[in-house]
Amino acid sequence: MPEERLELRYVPLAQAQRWDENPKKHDLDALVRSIERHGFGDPPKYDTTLGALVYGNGRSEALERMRQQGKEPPRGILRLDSGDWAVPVIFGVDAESKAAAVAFAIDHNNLTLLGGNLDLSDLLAIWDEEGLKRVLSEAPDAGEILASLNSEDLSALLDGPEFQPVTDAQQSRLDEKKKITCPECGHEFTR
Amino acid sequence: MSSRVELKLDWCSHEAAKYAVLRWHYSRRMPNSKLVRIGVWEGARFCGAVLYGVGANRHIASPFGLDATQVCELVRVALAPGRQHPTSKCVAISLKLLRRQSPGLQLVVSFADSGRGHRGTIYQATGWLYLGPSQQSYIKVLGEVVHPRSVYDRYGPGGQSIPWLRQNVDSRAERVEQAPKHKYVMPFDRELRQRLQAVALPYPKNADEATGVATGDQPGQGGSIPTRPLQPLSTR
Repeated sequence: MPEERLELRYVPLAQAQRWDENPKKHDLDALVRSIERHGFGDPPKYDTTLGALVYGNGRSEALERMRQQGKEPPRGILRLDSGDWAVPVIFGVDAESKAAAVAFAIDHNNLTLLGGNLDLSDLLAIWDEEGLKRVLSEAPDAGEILASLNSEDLSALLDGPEFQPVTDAQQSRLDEKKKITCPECGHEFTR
Repeated sequence: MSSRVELKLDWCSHEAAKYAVLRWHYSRRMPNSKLVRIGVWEGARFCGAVLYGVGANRHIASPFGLDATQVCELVRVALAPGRQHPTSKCVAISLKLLRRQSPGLQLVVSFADSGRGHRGTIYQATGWLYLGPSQQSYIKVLGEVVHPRSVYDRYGPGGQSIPWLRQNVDSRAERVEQAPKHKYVMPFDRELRQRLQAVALPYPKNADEATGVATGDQPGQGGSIPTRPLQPLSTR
């Protein structure tokens, strides 16, 4: 198997093609604050198979916002003679299929959250759920490649959980006070 | 023939309701109070829950001259995105189920959290009466902003006193003013509706009108103090 290497190249920000279908939600204000405080030290990665940035889409968008607001390039970002900004982008180790690229894009975000006993609902909070379903249904093999979600999670995401109705006996009555009996003296009261 | 899948509302389990709240409600918190849980299905697909409870404010009924067993609160509307049937229809059907299940109820109260950009679109679409914005201060303790009732439940009577909390729980405990919540009511009783209509306000049409924030359509956690004393009712 040939040895594969990653390469870091500076490319014009306008040419750092973002993934249009990216379903990840971003807090652009926080990203801008972070870049202003710490510099741009976390380069996006371009994936040839995906034809776009497989991660770093939010950071790239934050840079674009900063540039449009007339701010100075942060540390790690170059200003070209044309006035455009140049952003460091990682190239290489491309995904072997579109499904693999989609799976990597999802895993790359989810894996930063795992390890803290978060459940599926927690993980999904960072995603536009409909967008996530869309990219997974357009690349159906991605589910099998994902490292951060198991088949049960995927089934719950795509098909919904299988909850069945229950009887009304399992519901509280809101027009009645609950009768409570004191375990010590047997006195009954309502609450 | 319609291609829409059949909408079905029925009682659901605590587990189902919790799933819906954690996944589809912005608060991501299940209320602590006793609840009536109504699930929403489209065909065989579970797509959320509408929850009614006694709410966080134990005095919720008093401004209306009603007993606590006659008033409840719509505490969560947690529905999946991408459904075929609108939220307002689900809420309208859930109200009918609630009324049948707890026939002693005369009024449902709910709040739209302007701090979250909500103005109560679903209540407006289903004929609720708008009683205005309602202000409530919360308490920040151990880094969490919580309703005073919840603080009381956790720490007892002293829990609503900032000096007590600072001395016993968190030296940085403080009172925090929250953005107003739009208060809506749905009376089940015709006479009560007529009385409340007399004090109801026009629906907030946009953010600036009442609170200066953006718009939305999900109800908040509820539990606000009443905005306006409804004298005609309290003298019944």
